[in-house]
Amino acid sequence: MEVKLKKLNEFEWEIPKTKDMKVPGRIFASTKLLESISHDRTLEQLKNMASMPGIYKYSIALPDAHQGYGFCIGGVVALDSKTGGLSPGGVGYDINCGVRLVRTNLTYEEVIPKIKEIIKKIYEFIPAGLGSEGRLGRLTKDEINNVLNLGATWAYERDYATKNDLKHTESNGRLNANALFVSDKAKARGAKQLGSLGAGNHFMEIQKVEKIFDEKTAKAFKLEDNQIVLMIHTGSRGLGHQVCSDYLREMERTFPDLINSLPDRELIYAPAGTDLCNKYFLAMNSAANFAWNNRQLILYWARQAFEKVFPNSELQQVYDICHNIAKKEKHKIEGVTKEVFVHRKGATRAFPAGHKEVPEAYKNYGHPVLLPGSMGTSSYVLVGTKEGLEKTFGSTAHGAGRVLSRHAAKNKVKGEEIQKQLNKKNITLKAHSWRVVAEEAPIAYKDINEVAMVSEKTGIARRVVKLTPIGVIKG
Amino acid sequence: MFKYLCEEATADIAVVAEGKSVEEAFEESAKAFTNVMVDLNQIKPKKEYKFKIKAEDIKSLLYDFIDELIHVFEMKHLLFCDYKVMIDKKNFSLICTARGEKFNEKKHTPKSVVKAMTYFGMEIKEEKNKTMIKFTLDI
Repeated sequence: MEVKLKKLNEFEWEIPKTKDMKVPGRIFASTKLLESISHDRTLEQLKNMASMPGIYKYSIALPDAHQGYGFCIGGVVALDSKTGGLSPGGVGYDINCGVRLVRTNLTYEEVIPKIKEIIKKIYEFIPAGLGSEGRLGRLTKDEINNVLNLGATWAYERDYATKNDLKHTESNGRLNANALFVSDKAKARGAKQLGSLGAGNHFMEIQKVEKIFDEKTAKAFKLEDNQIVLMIHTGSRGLGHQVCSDYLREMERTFPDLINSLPDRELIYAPAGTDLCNKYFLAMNSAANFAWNNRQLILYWARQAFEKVFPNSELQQVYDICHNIAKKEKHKIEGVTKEVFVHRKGATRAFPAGHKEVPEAYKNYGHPVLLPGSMGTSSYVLVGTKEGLEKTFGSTAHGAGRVLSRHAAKNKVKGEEIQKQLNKKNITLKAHSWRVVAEEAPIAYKDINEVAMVSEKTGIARRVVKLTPIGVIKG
Repeated sequence: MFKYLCEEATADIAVVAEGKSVEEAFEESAKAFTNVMVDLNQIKPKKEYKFKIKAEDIKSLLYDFIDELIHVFEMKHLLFCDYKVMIDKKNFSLICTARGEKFNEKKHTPKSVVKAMTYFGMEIKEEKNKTMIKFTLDI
């Protein structure tokens, strides 16, 4: 489908409102990124998103946007919390898929001679790949309920987390949840998988601070040149996927008339104020709490792996942030404060200095925004801006964003070849599946440098540091 | 017969499955699903597993069918190479008998992990002696 675009300025484009749309669509991209955004069905999906009930301002595609199911990935919509609704498709299957950044007290020169050793240790300590399960064994019913209800407090009470870890996690790693609304089927999947990385685009990387863009903010985040950091990218595993599927189906059964009124079945939603909307909200938050415990356990074992190889190492959390979630937030819209469900699907929250959700240590700067790059390429730490709060409900991109399908990537390159290429760049790679490595090849993704640059140029976030990998673990 | 569409799904996998009947097209869809994770020819039909699904229409039946297979893999680590499906078209219910074995990393080369079934781009076209199914898996 041909979608007409209006250029607003160098980095902003509009899909003018047509009769099926309640608001226009807005794309934040350079000409180069727009080209790859336009080659799949992203723009068509952005139009569909603009038809959601109670939507404010415009449906948003961020610089890394690409085709998803129902809603595009790298997409944001804000729906009124009383007249709008909540859509599982606007959150994504992997609820609270997110990124955790941890700084070490080690330098590049200290780590590089032992990079193979530390990667091997992490690979041994942290389960990943097809069918991977956590090291805690199957959690009891009571225990999985605690994980879902308490969020990262669960990990803290069991000494898997420090106070600093919790303080430096979005929403302190705990959202208002109720495990009663999560099915036994979802809990059964989660009970076996807590503390596992999974596969696909999920990874762990040992990176070094390559370049500092904003000295002051980098200092506040305690990041310095040549420092070694650890990045963890994973989500709520099978539990979150099942919560999404369960509620998508439940919404179809409860609101059958909606199915035919929607341009895409994946856009199904629960109208705000209905029992089902409230239940999904609490179930989604439960899955988000699971994801925070998942990344926390991975960090717990990563700390042990580091201690074996570098006995004096200290790993301190910089921040943990999700990029698949719907949050109830208050935003000023045309001068009036409204409570909205901000759906961020493949989009990262980016709140500026002074916002009450920003942790104490960062309150004068804004919270860190973590942009994982594609395998073996750079990642970025950005920070939120006031402009972003106005333009994108305080959101920016979540990574590089795909440009080639997995199938196409796999046909172009072999996993083993990519390992060789990375080796040439002095990057150590260890993976559970060569197929996954090929599917996740850097050529399959947009240029992360361009995505970070456009985030800054549009004013929705600001670059703080650039990170480059020296060791990669894939599922 | 099934195949994957290269350019249709940027982050996911788009599948086209065909059969002489709806049942056969469902069986091919299930094979296409398994083959995303492990090559079908590496799986031996050692164990039998039977399950029932009930839905509201043919598309939700396909959705729940694949969703159940994802669940069975994650809970029991069972991979199937052979599926027999019986569909009650009036009630949108099915009975599936699947044969396969437990996933073993030494025997089965892991490919991708399927996260979830989706409705995105789902089509089920029934003709006289041919049914074509199209769907997308989130991976």
